[in-house]
Amino acid sequence: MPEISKNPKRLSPLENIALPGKYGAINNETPGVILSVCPARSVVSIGARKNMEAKVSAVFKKQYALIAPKPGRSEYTKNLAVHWAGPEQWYVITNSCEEGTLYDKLAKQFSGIASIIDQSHGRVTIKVSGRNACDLMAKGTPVDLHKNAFTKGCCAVTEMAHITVHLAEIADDEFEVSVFRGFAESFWQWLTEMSLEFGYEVK
Amino acid sequence: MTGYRLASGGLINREKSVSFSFDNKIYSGFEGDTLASALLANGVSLMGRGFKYHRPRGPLTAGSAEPNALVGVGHGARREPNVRATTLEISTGLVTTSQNCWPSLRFDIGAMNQTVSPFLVAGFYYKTFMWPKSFWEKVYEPIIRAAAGLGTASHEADPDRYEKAYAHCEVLVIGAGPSGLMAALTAARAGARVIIVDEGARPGGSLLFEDDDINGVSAHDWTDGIIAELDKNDNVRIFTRTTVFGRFDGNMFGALERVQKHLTEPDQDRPVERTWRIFTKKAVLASGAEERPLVFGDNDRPGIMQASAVRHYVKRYGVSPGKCCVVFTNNSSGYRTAKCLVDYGVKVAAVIDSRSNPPEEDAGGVKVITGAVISKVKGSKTVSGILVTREGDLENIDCDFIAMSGGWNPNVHLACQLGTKPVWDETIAAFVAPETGSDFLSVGAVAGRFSLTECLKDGAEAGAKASKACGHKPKPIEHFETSSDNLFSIEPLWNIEQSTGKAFIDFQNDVTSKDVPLAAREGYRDVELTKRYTTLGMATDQGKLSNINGLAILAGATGRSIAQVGTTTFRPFYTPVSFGALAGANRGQHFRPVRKTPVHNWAQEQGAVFVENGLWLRAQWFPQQGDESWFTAMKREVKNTRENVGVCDVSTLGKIDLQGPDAAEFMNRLYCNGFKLLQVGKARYGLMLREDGIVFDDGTASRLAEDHYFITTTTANAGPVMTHMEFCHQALWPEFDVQFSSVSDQWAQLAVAGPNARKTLQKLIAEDLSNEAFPFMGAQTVTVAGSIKGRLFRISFSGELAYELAVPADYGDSVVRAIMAAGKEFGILPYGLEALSTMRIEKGHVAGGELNGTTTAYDLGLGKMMSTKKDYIGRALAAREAFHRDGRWNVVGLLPVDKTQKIHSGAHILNIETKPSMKNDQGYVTAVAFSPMVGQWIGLALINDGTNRRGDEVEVWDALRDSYVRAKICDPVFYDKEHVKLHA
Repeated sequence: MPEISKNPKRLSPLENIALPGKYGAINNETPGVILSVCPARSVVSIGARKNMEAKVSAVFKKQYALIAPKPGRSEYTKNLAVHWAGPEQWYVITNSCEEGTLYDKLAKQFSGIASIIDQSHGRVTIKVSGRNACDLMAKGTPVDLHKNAFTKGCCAVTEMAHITVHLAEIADDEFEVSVFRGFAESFWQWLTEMSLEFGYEVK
Repeated sequence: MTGYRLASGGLINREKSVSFSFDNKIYSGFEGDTLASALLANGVSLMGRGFKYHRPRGPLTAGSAEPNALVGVGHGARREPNVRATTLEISTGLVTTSQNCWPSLRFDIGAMNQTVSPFLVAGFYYKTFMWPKSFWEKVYEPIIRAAAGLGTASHEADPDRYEKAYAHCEVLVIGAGPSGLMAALTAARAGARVIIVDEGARPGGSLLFEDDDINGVSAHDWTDGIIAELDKNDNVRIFTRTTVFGRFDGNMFGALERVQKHLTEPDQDRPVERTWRIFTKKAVLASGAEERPLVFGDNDRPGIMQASAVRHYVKRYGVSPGKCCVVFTNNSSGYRTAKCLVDYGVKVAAVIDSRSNPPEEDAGGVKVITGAVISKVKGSKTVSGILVTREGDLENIDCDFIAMSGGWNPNVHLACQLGTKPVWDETIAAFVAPETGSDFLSVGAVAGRFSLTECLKDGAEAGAKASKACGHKPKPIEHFETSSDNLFSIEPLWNIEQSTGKAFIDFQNDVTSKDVPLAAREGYRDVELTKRYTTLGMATDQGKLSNINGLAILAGATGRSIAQVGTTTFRPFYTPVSFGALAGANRGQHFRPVRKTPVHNWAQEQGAVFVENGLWLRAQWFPQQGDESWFTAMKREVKNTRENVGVCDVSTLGKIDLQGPDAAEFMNRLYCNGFKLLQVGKARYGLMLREDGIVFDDGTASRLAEDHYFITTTTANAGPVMTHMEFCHQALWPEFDVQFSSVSDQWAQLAVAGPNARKTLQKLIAEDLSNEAFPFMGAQTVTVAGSIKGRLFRISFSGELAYELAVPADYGDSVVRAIMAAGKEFGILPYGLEALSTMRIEKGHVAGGELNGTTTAYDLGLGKMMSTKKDYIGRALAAREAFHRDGRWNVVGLLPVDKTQKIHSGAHILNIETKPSMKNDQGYVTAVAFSPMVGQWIGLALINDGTNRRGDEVEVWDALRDSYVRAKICDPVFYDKEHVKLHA
C-alpha cells in the first residue's frame, strides 16, 4: 500500500502564495498592516437542534465554562474560540488538538442536541492586525468597525470582495477573517492589493 | 481678454511655481492654481470649442459645473478626456490638450457649422436625415457622431488602480462652506461621529472667494481654525477632493474621492480614485448654490463668466480674467463682483442692472446703469466691448471681460434624488431643497438662505439637531457677527429679446433660447420631453447652470408659471464618476472571485488546460505534449478511462451536509423521488423540481446515518440549491428539525473510473471494495492510505465501474498523487471536463444542456422517478395538462447518418424536406461529442415527441454554419446499453 505518511501534511491553499516579507508603501515606517495565515486548525460548526438552545448553552457552560455566544459575539477560553455563525449556529475553533479529535469530542458532547459538522479543511483564516487594520477591513465589509460599534469579542458574517467571510475582532484592531477554502487565493490577492497603500508585512 | 496675475492675494503659493503644458505650449502657474486660473493668468482665455457649433469657449465658472473649459489630460493610457479645467489642479509635468477642434483650437474648421446653424436646431437630426432610411445607420449617424461630441478616450487599458470602501458616521455633512463647517463643528463638539465631505481641494466653500470677517477674524483664518479643530477630533473625518454623488435608501450616500487625480504620476501603491459608501444616521446637506448665467446674445464668448467666478479667480487665485470688466446683473451678486474688482485695482467700466429700481448697493464707486441690458457682444474669440440698451437708447462700452449674474440656483440635487421635488421660492427666484424628514437636513444656500450670518446659524442649528438626535448633548449655539451681510435681492430676467446673436441656455450641449420655444411649439411641452428633445440639462453639469433658465423660458412659451412647469428628475450622479471608480478592484481577471479546487496545483503540474465553470477553474483536458489539441486529448482520456482507469477532479460539485431528526422527511419533500427508505450506507440519484414542476437540479445523495444525509448538487446550482433549502426550511416547513451547511470546500472529491478503478483504489483503501462488500450505490467511511478518514461513494457519471472518493480538502493534493501512483501499473491517466462530458453523452446522462429550465422529468426520460406516494416540491404543478400533452420535446439520441459528418449544439431539428421556420421546428441539439467508442459524432437532442420517433431520420439544420446534416433519432444511451460495466 502506498503510504502517504503516518501524519499526512495539510496543504494550505495559501502555501507558496502568502510569502513572508514586507510589501507596498512601507517608507521606513513600520507596516500599517500585518497579515498572517493561521496554521491549519480544527473548525467545527454546531447547529442547535430545534428547541435545544438551552441545552446547548448548558453543555458549553459545563464543558467549557463559557456561554453560547449571542448573535455577533465570540467567546474565548485558553484553547478555544467560539464564534456566533448564524441563528443558533456557532463555530468552535482550536489550534491545540489533533485532526478530528475536536469533532469527535463535540459530537459526543452535543449528541442529540446539536448537529456537528467538521469544517476544518473548508475554511482558511487570515489574521489582520496593525494600525491600519480597520481601514483595510473597511475596504471590504459594510460592517461598522468603529470602537463604539465593533470591539474585541465581536464577530460578523459579512462579505468582502464579493466573497462571504466570517470576521472576528480577536483583540483591539486585530481581526481574523475566514473564507471558504476555494476562495482563499482570490481573497488573498484582493487583501494584499488593498493593503499596498498602508505597507504590509506577511508573517 | 488679457487675463493677468494680480500683484498680490490669492490662496496660492507664489514661492512655488509649477510648469505645465496646454496644446504643447509650456506655461507656468503657482501651487494652488487650477488649469483655468493658471491659463487665465497667462492671458489664455480660449480653452475649448462648443459641442455642436464649435464656437470658441473659455471658462464660465470656477468650479465643478464647468461646461466650456473641458480639456484632455495626460497621454497614452492615462489620457482622460473632458476634464474640467476649472477644478483640475496643476502639478509639474501636467500635459493638457484642447478637444473637439481641428486642426487647432484657434482655427477650427468645425466652426463652419455656425453658417448652417439655422438647420441645426433642436431635433434637426430627426427631421433632416430621414431618407433614404438605410442611410441613418450607415452614413448619417457615423458622420454626426464624428462631428459632434467632446473629447476622445484613450483606447489603452487604464494603468491605474481604483478602490471601494465603506464609512460610517452619525452626522454626515456634505459641503464644507460656512454652513457645513458650522454643522460639522457643532456636531463634533457635541461628541458625534462626524464625516464632512467637500468636492474642492480645500475646504471653505464660498469663504474661499468672499472675504467677509466672521466674529472679528477673516473668513480664511476662521475656516483654518475650524478645520484645525475638526482635524484634531478623533471622531471627525474630513474628506476633501471628494464628491457625494448620490443619495440612496437608508441614508446611504455614494461619494467619489479623487485620491491622486491631482498628481501627474500617481503612486502605484495607492488608488487614483476611491468610491465610498457612507452610512449615516443623519445627513446635513450644505451644498450651496450655483450662480445662474444670463441668457443674452453671444453670452458664450470667452471672457464672459459668472460674477462669482470672477471673484473666485481674483480672490482665491490672485488672477484677473481681464483688464476691464462690465458687470451684467439682476441681483446683488454683480455688485459684490464690481466692488471686489475695484478693491483689487481692476477697472470696471459699468454695472448694468436690468432692474429699473434696484435697492441701494455698494458698487465700489462704479457707474451703475439701471433698467438696461446687454444687446450685443463684440468680438468672437475675445470680448472687445458691448452695446447696452436702456429704454431704446444704445450705448457702446469697451471692455474685455463680462461678469454676469442671473441669480443663484441652490444645488438641490441630493435633497431630491429620492424623488422629492424641489420647492419654488419666488423671493429668490429659485428652487430650494425640500424638507425630506429629520434624517436629512438642508442648510444655508441650498435651503435658500443666502446671507452669511444665516448660513452660519443654520449650519450650527442643524449640527446641534442632528447630534442631539443621535443622543449627544450639543452646546448652546453661539452668536455670529459678520462684516458684510447685505440682504439678497433679485428681479428675474429670463430672456433678453433685444439682444442679437445666439443666446445659450445650456453651454455644453449648445441649447439656445430659440430651441426651447421651438420644442414647445412642436408639442414637447412637458419638461421631461423638452429636456430630451433639446438635450437641455443633459450635459455633465446635469442642468446646474441651465435648467432654471430653460424652465423659465419654457414657462414663458407655454403660458405657465415656473412652479407649474416643475423640474426634471434628479438622479445620481451629481458630477461625472469614472467607470474605474465604480468597478474598483473588480476588473479584468478580478471581475469576480476565482475558486480553485484542492487539487488545482496538481492538475496544473499535469499540464491541464483550465476552463471557467461558474467561479471555478476546472481542468478541461490534459495535453500530453504541450500543443495536443483538446480533441485528441479527449479521445485518449475517454478511451483510457473506458479501457483502463482515469481520475477526475469533481471537487466543484456542491456538497451539503444535512442532519436532524426530520432529515429524511425534508429530503423526501425536496426531491421528487423517495429518500426516506434509502438505507444507511447507500447513495441514490435524486431529482429536484422547481415549484412549477420543471426540473431544477440533479445529483446523488447518500445516507450516512439515520438522521444524516450528504447531498451533492451540480456545480452550477450549488448556491441556488442551498438557497432553495434555506427557503424551504425557513418559510415552508419551519417545523422541521433539520440543520444543514455547505461543505463544498471541506472535501476534495475525486472520481476514479474504469475497469481498473477497484484495483487502483483497493491499494489505498483498507476496507474491502469487492462487489459483494461494496456494491453499486454504496456509500461508506473509509481510511485512505492508512491515515486519512474519507468517504467513498460507488457512483458513476461515466458509466464505468467508478467511485468518488472524498477526503478533507487539505489532503486532496496528497491523495490524488497517491491515486496516480497506485494506478500507475493499471495505466491510470487524469481526465478533464471534455472527456467527462463525452462519456456522459455516450451514456445519455442528462446535464446542463438538458436541465435547462424548460424541461420536465418526463421530457428527460426520468418521469418514473416522480413518486406518487408522497408530496414534494413541484408535484402539483408537474401534473399540469400541458406537461403531459403529446408533442412535448423530449430527450433522445441523435446519430448522423453519414458517419463522417458532425453536428453542433444548438442546431435545430427539421423534418426531412421542410423549410426552417418556427412552425416546422422539431427541436434542437442540446449536447454533442465525438464518441471514441461509437467512432463518430453523437448528440443528445430535445425533439418533438422524440421518444416515439426513434429510428426516424431528420435534418439537423445549423443556421450559424448554414449546414444540413441528415441524422437518425435513437436511444440516448450510445454505449454499454445494458449498463453492465458500472455493476462490474
